[in-house]
Amino acid sequence: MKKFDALNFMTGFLAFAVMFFIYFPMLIVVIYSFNADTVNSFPIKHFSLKWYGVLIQNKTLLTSLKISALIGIFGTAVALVIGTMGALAMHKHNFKLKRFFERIVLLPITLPGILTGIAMLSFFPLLGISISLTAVVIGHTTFLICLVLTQVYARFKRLDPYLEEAAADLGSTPWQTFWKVTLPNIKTAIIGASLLSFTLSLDEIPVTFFLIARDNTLPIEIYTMLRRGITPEVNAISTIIFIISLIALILSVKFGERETKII
Amino acid sequence: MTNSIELKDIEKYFGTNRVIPKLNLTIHQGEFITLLGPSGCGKTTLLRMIAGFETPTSGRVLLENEDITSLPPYKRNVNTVFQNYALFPHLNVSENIAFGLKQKGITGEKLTNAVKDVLETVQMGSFINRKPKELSGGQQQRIALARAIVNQPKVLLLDEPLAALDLKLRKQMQFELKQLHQQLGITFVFVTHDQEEALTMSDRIAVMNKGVIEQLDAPQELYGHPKSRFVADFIGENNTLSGTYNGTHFVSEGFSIPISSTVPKGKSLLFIRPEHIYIHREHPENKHKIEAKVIGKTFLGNLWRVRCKISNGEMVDVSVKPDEIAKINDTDTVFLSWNDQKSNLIHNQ
Amino acid sequence: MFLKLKPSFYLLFLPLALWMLLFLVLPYTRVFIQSFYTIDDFGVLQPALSFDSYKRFFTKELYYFTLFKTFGLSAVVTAIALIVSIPLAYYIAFKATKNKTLLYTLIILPLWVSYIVRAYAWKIILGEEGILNSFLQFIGFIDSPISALLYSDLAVVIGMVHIYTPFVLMPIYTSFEQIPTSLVEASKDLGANRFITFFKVVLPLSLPGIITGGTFAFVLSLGDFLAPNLLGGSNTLFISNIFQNMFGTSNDKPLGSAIGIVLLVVVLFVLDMSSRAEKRYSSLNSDRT
Repeated sequence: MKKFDALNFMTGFLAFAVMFFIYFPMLIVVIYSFNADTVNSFPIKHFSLKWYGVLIQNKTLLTSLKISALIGIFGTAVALVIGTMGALAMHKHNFKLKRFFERIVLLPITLPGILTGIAMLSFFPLLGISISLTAVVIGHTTFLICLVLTQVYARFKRLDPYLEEAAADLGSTPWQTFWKVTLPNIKTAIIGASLLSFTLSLDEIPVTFFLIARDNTLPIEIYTMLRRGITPEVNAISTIIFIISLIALILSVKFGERETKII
Repeated sequence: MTNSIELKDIEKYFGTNRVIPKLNLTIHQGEFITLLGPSGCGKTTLLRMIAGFETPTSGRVLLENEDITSLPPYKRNVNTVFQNYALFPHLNVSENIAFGLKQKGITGEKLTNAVKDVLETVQMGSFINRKPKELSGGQQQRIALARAIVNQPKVLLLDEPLAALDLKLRKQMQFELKQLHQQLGITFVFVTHDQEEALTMSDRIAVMNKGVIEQLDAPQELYGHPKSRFVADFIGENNTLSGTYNGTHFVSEGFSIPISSTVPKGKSLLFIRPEHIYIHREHPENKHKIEAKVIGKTFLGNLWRVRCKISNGEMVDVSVKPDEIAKINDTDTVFLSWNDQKSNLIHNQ
Repeated sequence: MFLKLKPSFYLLFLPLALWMLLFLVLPYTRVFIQSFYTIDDFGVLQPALSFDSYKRFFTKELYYFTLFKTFGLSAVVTAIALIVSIPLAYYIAFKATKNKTLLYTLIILPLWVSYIVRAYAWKIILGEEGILNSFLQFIGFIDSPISALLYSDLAVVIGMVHIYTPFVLMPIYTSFEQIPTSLVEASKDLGANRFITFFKVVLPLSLPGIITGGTFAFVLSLGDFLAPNLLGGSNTLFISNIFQNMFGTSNDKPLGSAIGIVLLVVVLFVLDMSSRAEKRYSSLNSDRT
């Protein structure tokens, strides 16, 4: 038998307490999504799937889910193309402002979303882009591009530079080299970046908040519902979002290696 | 003998930094040539210019009399074995090897046979479906070699291919590479900083320093007759004495040695290798002798190395057989002598 | 500057550069310019070069007081998040052996879960008719619900700590992971006990990670307007709420822009300080990105 170790016990206890603090609220939401009552109070008197039923009837919420998914897919697709191309350009070439540019592309990820949102709100109309879903898509795509770029570029930096030379040495043109050697070796980073992009787009509020007109995205719709007062179906939709996030994460851990971390 | 590679008036700048000033080199058909030098001497840059990864700032690169200076790497019939092997991690062994042939449009049975044959050549027949990360360093090295030679290049470029291997495996691979060279009959251009490796494998060695070829010769010639202090010091162990040549004698503080040489009068250097020096306790009859004081001795296994201080203050190392070492003690006064032909006198600008 | 580069570079880089210019750099520039504009009596923007907005921001107590309060609350959130993260990261990095991957996944999972869901969770827990109140009543600890739980500074701080702790955990865990075990062993070999080893070896070596994590929490809290909106009462205003208001009900875009620029400068300053500090305190040669 191992001797009781007070220090180890304390660390373990603290760690457990923090884990509990992180997961407790989410567990509450999941549990109360099966609460038949309209009020979220303790203890739960009846369990039911009632709110999931209400959810399916809620046209506005379902439309907002569809809008969110479309924005996420479109934004991620555009961001993948532009971001990967940009990462490739920065990987292949050296130019004077490279360091500066590396910092610039980090800004949309690190700066408060509200700043970016209001900046876009102030400028997009001058470009002839009215406050609408188009504006939201552009807004999302902007920070998704930066996200993809950072992640893919990080992978490029770790990529053995001699692989591409070896391909050229064996007779591949630059174009063939990209498809046959470069792409297969950054594939996991691209998959990871897409999953992360899609999830972030699906969750995004601050930028969307300022650019949206009538049609709400899912989180904005939930936000509006919360402003109006708590409706128990939010528990149900939150549980579904929680599960979707869980699946996305598991996929990304499987594919994305370590680039998927958000930092 | 026809020329395989010719480098003509090659100059290379990285930014404003000149790494290779005006360099000429002719490589013969089928020879094993080594570019030898310390890191940063420009040997890898030279190799990369032959491969096509770098373009010379000025000058021309010829492959079998054809100007390939501005040809991209994928259009040159030369192949490279990279220092870290650069095997494609997403492809298995046979796909790695087939890569170059597929680029040339070779498919089907012809492709499969070529891959099989070359795997036999490098004795890796049973590893055909492995991924690179499932192979040891030595195995990866063989696959990298196979991937290059399967394309039957006119020239095979090897960029320190053995550097990552441990000593025993390195010796083994040196031997196999040499055999492979004889078997294939193609030109090998080998880059290394390891002088022993260069001496054992090469037909000719180009010793490089600061972007300049200091000496280009066969190994024996290079070892026996170094033409500069850099070459003498870089290849093998060496003692350098500094003094002046007056037309008949090499003179320094406290000693004078008769030498007949074509070297011009004036400041000069005398090179003698430790194993060519005899150590005497009594005054010898030999006319090339210097008085010296023993400073210390080191055991090397098959030999002892005795360090002596001579009258002009310079240190001289001497190889001594184990059965003679007992007679030599620290602070002893001894006499050093050597055979005239074994020393090399050069002019020192 | 790009003159010597090949055409393929432009082809790859141009879409990115154009996009960033049009949709990121110019919008921010617009806010900057707008902060010097004035508005007429109808709230319509008038181009001008006036420092009036900045003057108003720094002279009206509500504004600069809110800025300080935002700083204060963000600092509290950061401090708690750090205190909470270090033991957990330490446990997973050094103590957990069997379920390391699972635990690691568990701490990054919240990063993937919707912000709104996490904020909402605290709303139903802390509300007047919420779970905590009804639980306390149920066990007989209180007779009538405590109304001050939700819509308070406390609720905002709890919510933010909960939301931003995973951002702090990640870099700290990573920097713990990068410490070679040999260093910890060397410290013990030289006679340091676990406490001393932690404070003199582990903590100093993981300082870059702690700085990164702290910066994340601080900057994210500074710019958050949703948690105060959802969990804070009418008097829990963050600077971002005032900022947001100027573009909404108050309709004072120049003042709003000036607040935005102040916030931007503050955030950039914090980010710059932190990246300097990180470089200064990084003693391990790591290729952290």
